[in-house]
Amino acid sequence: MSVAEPVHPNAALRFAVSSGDLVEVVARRGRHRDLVYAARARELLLPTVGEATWSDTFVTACTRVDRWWIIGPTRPPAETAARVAGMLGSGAIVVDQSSGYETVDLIGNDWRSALASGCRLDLDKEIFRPGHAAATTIAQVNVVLIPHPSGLLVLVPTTYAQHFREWLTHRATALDLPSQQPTAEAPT
Amino acid sequence: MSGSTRLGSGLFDRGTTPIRFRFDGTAYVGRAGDTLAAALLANGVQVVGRSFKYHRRRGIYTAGPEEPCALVTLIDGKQREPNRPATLVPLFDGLVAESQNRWPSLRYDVLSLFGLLSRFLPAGFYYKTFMWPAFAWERLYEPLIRRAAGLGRLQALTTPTTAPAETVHDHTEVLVVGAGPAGLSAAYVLGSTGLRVILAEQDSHLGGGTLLDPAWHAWRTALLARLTCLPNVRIWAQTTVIGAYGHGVYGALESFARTTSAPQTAAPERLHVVRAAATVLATGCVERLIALPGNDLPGVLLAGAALRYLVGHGISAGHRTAVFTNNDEAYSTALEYMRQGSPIEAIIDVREYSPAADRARGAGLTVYAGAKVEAIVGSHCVRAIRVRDREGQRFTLAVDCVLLSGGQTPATALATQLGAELRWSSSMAAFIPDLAPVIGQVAGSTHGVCGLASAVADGISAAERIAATLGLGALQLPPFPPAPNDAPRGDLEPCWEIPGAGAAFVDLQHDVTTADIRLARREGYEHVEHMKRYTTHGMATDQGRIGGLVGNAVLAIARGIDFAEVGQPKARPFLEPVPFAALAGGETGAHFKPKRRLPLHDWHAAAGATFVNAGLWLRPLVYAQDTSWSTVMAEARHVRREVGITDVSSLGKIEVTGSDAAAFLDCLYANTLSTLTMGRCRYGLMLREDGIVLDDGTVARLGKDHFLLTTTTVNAATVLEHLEFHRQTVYPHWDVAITDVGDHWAQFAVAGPLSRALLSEILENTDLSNAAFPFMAAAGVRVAGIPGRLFRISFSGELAYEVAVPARHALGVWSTLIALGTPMGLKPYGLDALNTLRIEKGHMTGAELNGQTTASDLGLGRLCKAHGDYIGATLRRRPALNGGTRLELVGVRPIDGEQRLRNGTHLLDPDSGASLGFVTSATPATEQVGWVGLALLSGGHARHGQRLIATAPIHDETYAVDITSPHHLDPENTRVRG
Amino acid sequence: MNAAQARIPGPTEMLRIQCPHCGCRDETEFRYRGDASISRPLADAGEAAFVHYVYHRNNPKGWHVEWWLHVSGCRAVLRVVRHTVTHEIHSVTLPQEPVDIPWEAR
Repeated sequence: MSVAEPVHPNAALRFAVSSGDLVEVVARRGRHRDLVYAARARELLLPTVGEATWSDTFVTACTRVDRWWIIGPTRPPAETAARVAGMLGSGAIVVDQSSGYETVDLIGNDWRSALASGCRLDLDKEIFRPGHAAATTIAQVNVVLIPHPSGLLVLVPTTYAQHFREWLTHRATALDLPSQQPTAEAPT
Repeated sequence: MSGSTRLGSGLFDRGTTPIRFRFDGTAYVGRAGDTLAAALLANGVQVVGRSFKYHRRRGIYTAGPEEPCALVTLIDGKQREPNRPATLVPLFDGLVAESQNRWPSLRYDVLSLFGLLSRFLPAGFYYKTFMWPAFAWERLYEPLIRRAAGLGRLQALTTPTTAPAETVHDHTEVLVVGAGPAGLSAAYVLGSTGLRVILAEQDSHLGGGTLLDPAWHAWRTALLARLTCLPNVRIWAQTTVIGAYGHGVYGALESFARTTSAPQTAAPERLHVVRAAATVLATGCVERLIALPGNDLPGVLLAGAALRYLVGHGISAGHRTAVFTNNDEAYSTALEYMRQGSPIEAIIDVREYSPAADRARGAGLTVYAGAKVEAIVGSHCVRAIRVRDREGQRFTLAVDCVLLSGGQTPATALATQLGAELRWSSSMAAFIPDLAPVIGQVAGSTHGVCGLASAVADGISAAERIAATLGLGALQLPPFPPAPNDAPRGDLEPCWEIPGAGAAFVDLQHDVTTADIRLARREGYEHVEHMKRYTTHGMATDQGRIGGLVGNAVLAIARGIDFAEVGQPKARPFLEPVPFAALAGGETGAHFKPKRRLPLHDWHAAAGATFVNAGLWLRPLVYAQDTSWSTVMAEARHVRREVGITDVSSLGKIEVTGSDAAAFLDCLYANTLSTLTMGRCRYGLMLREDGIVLDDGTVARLGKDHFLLTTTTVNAATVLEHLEFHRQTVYPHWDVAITDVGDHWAQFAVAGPLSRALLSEILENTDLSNAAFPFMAAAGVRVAGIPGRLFRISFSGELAYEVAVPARHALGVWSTLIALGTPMGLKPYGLDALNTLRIEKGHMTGAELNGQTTASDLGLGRLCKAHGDYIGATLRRRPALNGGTRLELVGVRPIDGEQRLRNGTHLLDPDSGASLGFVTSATPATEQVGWVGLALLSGGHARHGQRLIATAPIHDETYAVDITSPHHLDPENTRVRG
Repeated sequence: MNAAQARIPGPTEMLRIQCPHCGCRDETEFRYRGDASISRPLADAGEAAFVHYVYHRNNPKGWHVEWWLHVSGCRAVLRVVRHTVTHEIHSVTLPQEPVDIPWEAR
């Protein structure tokens, strides 16, 4: 997954919509341990609730017990889900959510102040940092937040995505943070 | 004009550039750093407003948010912002302000006649007088009273230039409220440990009491320099903590001082929602007045406020000033007045002795100890005071300014919101709060500590206790700058009221006098909360802070009980007026609530659709700007005759997976789903545990352990929670996973007699014949190259299919369907046509699944399992939920084909005229003449074939209708199975 | 943020609930799901048992065991033991865990 280059290098807050694939993985009842071992054998780390792991191919985040979000590069329809299902075996229920969520990547250091006007979580950089993941509500939308060293990934339900992006631009303006309109990125 | 004048420079001055402003149309000049109140005083403006009830002339009384009198309206072009305390308005060039509560002008206020009648206008006067005749209330009394009363006029409209206010969420370990010596010290100690600290100060200047004592300036400057170096300490000036909401949540309103008359682009204020692990309340004290005749005259102000105007702005409040006090604090003001050359005629102290009096006499001031000011006299403003000295001698002193000080009252509102215990301190004659340690600490003068050095020590000690509560262990205290010692201090002698002829005010904004309080007690309103409501004591925008305790003390004395027993009224949030805009934050206008857009939103818009708000969704109502019935019916009839396509992506879609999925669905739905074969769908009816219908939809079995549920659009979230709640609490041991896939799948209904022919052309390698893909079949398909799902289900009553594809491919697939289908007659149809089609077919939506109807009401009783457990199984069988006179679903049609049928029309028994039920949904028919509808009708299932009277009184319509089966169209289902 | 916050007594207009998965979260993230001290009767328990389950509620002045669904977070159903007067939250547990009620409420 990559992100559009910022148009204005001086913009304090930039965001881009990245078009990766998204898979929701559920451990079948009683199969949690099997699943974590099976994943590890394929070099896929399934973190515990509130955490995220980053590999060359996948970002894996956990915000619910026995459930993971796996974000990967765009593939032909349903292929990523099939690949993940193959890696994890029968202990997993794998659901393609590539169209269910839009991945908004906030780039730069000012995302914390921009989100503070709608996000009820403690976003202090010592407290919510790369390696963490959280599900919460922002602008009345249930989202998943995954901080990374250069910004923050936000998973937004697709049908709320435009509302969320408009809200983000509005708040960034109110806080006097220059913002950039989202740019759709060509699939990699 | 009065004796107030600017003597020199002050601590808050920011240069000497003249700042021009207008008050009530007159041009004045002030200084940068002034508040509007300071600038008015510097210009000798004495009368700045009229009081609420008696329209008495009032002047500036305080120097802070407790100001009861100097409320002004700020004018910015056409915008008017009422009720701003002039004491809080920073002066800027071009500021325009007006006084309030006067007509036609401040000097000649017609309604001040009320003042002459004041002895006839006691508390409760309006309640008692304007009682009869009843009709006169609305027409006569209320408009009159409203014109006479009320504060500034609210401007309800905002203009597009109004900057959005905002709400910000903040987290900290410690919230320190108040940046006086105690708050600064506590923040410094806690900040030095590395804890995150927020220091909130309502004043624009940090320092509290240290600002007014020149001996403390070096300490304050040095401490602030150290504090601002700590990156983990955030300092918010001009920020009032407006409420404590428990569990560590606080509201804080940050105001941004306007510095120019240019149009404002930034938000005027910001509401912080602070979550803190602990708090230090160093909210200081409010000086209180003494109730005596004439204590509201222009020229009377509180001694502490006068000190602030002199030290901060170089302004003296009078030429010949008298001080009336019961404590040592007021002496600081008198000594500073003398030092700056503003004459003090006398200090009248109710106490026999105090060290401060000795110091004042030593400095050459006249002090009358053991004396009282019996009245302040003057018709328009202060002219003189009548003094009674220790020996009982009465004499008059000509003065133009009286500085009052009745003692210091700790600001306890926040503490009491946090459940603090209040104890009566006889040395302060006030209540002092104690917080539970798990919540935080009270520090400084709020804590009953007198003197700045003592406040510093108390702030440090509070910080140490907080650190211990937070588990930090013993602290290494950071180095403090050297500070002066506190001077020896005499005790205060309580002095609430000097009885005499004439009104003695305890609440200046609402014109409450000591006599009103005694009247309230005599009339039975003797509880402090009742007295407050009867007299409106302490209910104004200033919350009656400077006289609140005085009024309560007058009540205690009248009742002959302890102050502690009288107590004080509960102080709820907010501590100061908060603009609605700040509370709304950014959630206004387009951002008030989310708009959910269909994956094909842009296509629908480009196709000319008119959108409708359906819950949060924006859905195409009809593909035209003309939303009349003729365009709707053209779309609907096209579906009946040829083929149409509509976007049903807003349906809830939930996958239920696992080896116990089938058993789980049997428990959650009233009908059996475990017998569903793979590759088939079934209608599913979900009940609440009480037997009422919750939702309906379809269930498709995609694999042995894999089901896909659809829900109605409005109930998608409710059903998901219903499933999750029961899985986790009632069936926790089952292997079931519930996954919301609502946004992943876009879904389109292709409906009409030509739908099979059309889809056979488009779908690759799919046999859609009845034998291969019968009614209620489900399968995976490739459509336009995209893996999707196909269901043969029908909401319209026609031969129909629903195609689902991942939403990101929706536009491509839909466009392909439209491109290939258009030559075959395919047209899109909107929500209105969809509704017409389903009403004719007798399908239900929210109007019928209204939270009151049962399965048997809807004619679905036979669907429900006869045996086995499911949610609602037991209670749905209760006799009262079945048959009898219950409202049951029927069809209805006017016998006159021209007659429009409307939702909400009542259906009457033709004999008795009693209402038997009402129409829930109505539409023109697509193939027959006239209108058809659905209705909920008492005993309706037995009334098919009856003729009833329909009436819609607000439309002045009464006509005959026939009751039918709800299935107006194709009751045998030949079309959907065709 | 620490857990002690959510246990602060006193008049409360905003609960903070210590979710065992997500940490301390605002009340607005949760959906109240009612009394957790009663369980769904067995299928054949009869109408009276179900009427009791659906309609009969104690209205205690004191400790109350209740379900809260963390809809905006982990979507877990939590069993919260809350004091109806002070709003103090004594414990937050998962449905499969034992109920943790203060001794004075037992």
